[in-house]
Amino acid sequence: MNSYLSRELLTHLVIAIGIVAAAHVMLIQPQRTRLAELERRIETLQADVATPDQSRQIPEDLLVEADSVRALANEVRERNKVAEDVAQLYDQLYQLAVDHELELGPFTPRHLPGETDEPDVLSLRIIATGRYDDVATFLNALRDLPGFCRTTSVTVRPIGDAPDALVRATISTGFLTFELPKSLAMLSEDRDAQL
Amino acid sequence: MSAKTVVIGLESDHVDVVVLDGTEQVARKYLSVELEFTSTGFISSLRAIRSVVAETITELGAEGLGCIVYYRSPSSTVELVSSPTKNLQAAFGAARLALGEALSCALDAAVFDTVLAARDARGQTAHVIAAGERSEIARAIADLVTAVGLRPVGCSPIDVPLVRAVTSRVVGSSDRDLRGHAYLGERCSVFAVGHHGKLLLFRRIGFSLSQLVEAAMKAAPTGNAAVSREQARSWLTTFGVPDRDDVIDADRGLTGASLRPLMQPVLQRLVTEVRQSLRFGVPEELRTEVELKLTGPGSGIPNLADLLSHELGLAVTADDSMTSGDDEFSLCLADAPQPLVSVLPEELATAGRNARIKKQLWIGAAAAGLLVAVDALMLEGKLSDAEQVVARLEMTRDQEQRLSDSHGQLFAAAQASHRIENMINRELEAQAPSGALLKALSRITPPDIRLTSIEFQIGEEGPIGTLVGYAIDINGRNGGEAIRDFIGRLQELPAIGEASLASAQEMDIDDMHGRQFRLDLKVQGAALLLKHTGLIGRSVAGGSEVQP
Repeated sequence: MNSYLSRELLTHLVIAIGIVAAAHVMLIQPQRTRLAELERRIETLQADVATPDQSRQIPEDLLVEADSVRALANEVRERNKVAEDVAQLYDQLYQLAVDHELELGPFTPRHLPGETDEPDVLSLRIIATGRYDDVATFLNALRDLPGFCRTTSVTVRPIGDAPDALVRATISTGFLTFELPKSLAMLSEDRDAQL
Repeated sequence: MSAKTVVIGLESDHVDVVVLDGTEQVARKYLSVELEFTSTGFISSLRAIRSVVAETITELGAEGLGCIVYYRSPSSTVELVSSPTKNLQAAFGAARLALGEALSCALDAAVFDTVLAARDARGQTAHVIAAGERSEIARAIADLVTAVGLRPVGCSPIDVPLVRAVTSRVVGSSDRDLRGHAYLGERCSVFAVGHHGKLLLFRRIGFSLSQLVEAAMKAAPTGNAAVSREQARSWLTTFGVPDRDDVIDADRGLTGASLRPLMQPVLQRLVTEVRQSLRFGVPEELRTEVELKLTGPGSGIPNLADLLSHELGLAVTADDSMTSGDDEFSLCLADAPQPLVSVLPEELATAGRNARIKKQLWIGAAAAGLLVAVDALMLEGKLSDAEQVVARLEMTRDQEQRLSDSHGQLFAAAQASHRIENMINRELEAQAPSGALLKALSRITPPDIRLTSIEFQIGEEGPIGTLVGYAIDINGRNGGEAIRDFIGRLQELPAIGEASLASAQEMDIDDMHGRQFRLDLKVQGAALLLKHTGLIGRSVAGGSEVQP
């Protein structure tokens, strides 16, 4: 009987210790492990946050320039569109010729891909016939087109000997496309970027 | 969990059943039964009263409760053993040896227990109560408890609390030099004397209130009705030790003269036992200085203290501080529900001990579980705080990272904008003059000069131009002068950097004479087209000098 009771007592003791130990292992141990991890994480984060970093302070003048940089990027993007849409460019040129009472010959287009740090160029050879003054204003109007227009040569010759004879102008011009650097493209696209 | 306990008092003429809730009595039942006071007869009596006690237990609604039995039996032995040692285990061992000698059976056939009753004031002597009972009687008591539907928790001779109470009164700290204490009980009496906190003597004395009551019950004159126990007790309470002339019961014609001789042997025995005890237990020089206090039910008998004082020549007073009106069972109730000793059969005692240990074990486990839960809650709070700190720090770090990225992005964008601005300006700067120059040429060209070809292109050093035409001699000015004048006008144009005559030769056209010429022009560069950023020439933190 005594032996039975002792075994029973021992069984209860083992069960009680087991329950408490299990509760400790299930409830306390994971929390302590997690707490230790968090404390290590806090130390790491505090070290990271406390590290002096000059990049944390954006210079005031750099912030001021942000709008100018974005405006430049947007303008480049808009002006590039002129050379990218050739059909519309031709329409604009013909319309310009009509406005200046010039007669345009057929265009001779040539696409010249740019190398590094050089723009792509849509090269056009324009032959316009009309009055001298109209040719002059036409040249100015070409420059005023919204794209990047670079006139590389102009040759004007009169047709006939009369003082008020019409002239034929041969204009070599190029419409340039500047590829926006990635950083600049991103900045102009994300107007809400945190600066 | 119920805190109720049943306490049963077994006396030779009655059974007390008391239900305690903690230490408070909630029910009590007195059963008048007779228990035979021999070993075999006692066991039979216990079996005989089972049904009565069981009915009472049912009536009190106490089935299943733990039960402590305080009993008086023919074979129970209670010894107070004084050992001059501070070692309690040695004192217990000595008490067991003394008990073995006092028991009416071998120690192996008995159930016994020991408890420390008191220590002397200086702690040099331990007074241990050793209680023992024959195993078969202990078993019979346990069987009674089980049979009536209760759970045996403890079993103690009824004298044990009394012995401890009297012992602790005369030993321990005391400002009295010499103190005697006589407990005159319902069925047993003890006498003890202490000196400066040391126990000088302790012994049982052959006196009880029951003996006096029974003596008084014999006082019925011939022909009268018998005197009941209650009547006799009433006389004792009222008259105590009567004078010869006191009228005790007029109806019966009973006076003190007839009652006192009946009481005399009992009282004489009390006086003799106290006197002999003092003689053998107290040094002679101290003997007359003993101040004797009477307690217990017997101390309430009027004139008893005076009688003892007169007979013993000592100061004797009745002390009602120790339940003087109650019997020995009342002292037991004061100790319940934790009896000082227990003489339950070994297996029951072990089972009870194991049950207590088991209960305490689970209480401990529950407490440990509670601590674990509290710890878990506290850790949960700490985890929550730590997670908040981590979240805050991560947010700060991310903000700084975004700030840093934005800074880098902005800086890279600024540099890129500067590069592309330079490139645009470089590419657009080198181009042929605009229509304004053509108009200016038209304006400054004199009538005697006719241009047959105007050509502008981009040379290696910038825009250059070639004018081809002829100058006619007219109005007395030859073509050479006209050409020189024309060159001068050209050089005055802001857009023309330099104009020079490349070739000229005489010519005749139709009927006119003149000079054919070719002029080379250097044209000023075009103005910058773009001026968006102000970064040109500025030193940017973290970057190199940006040159226009």
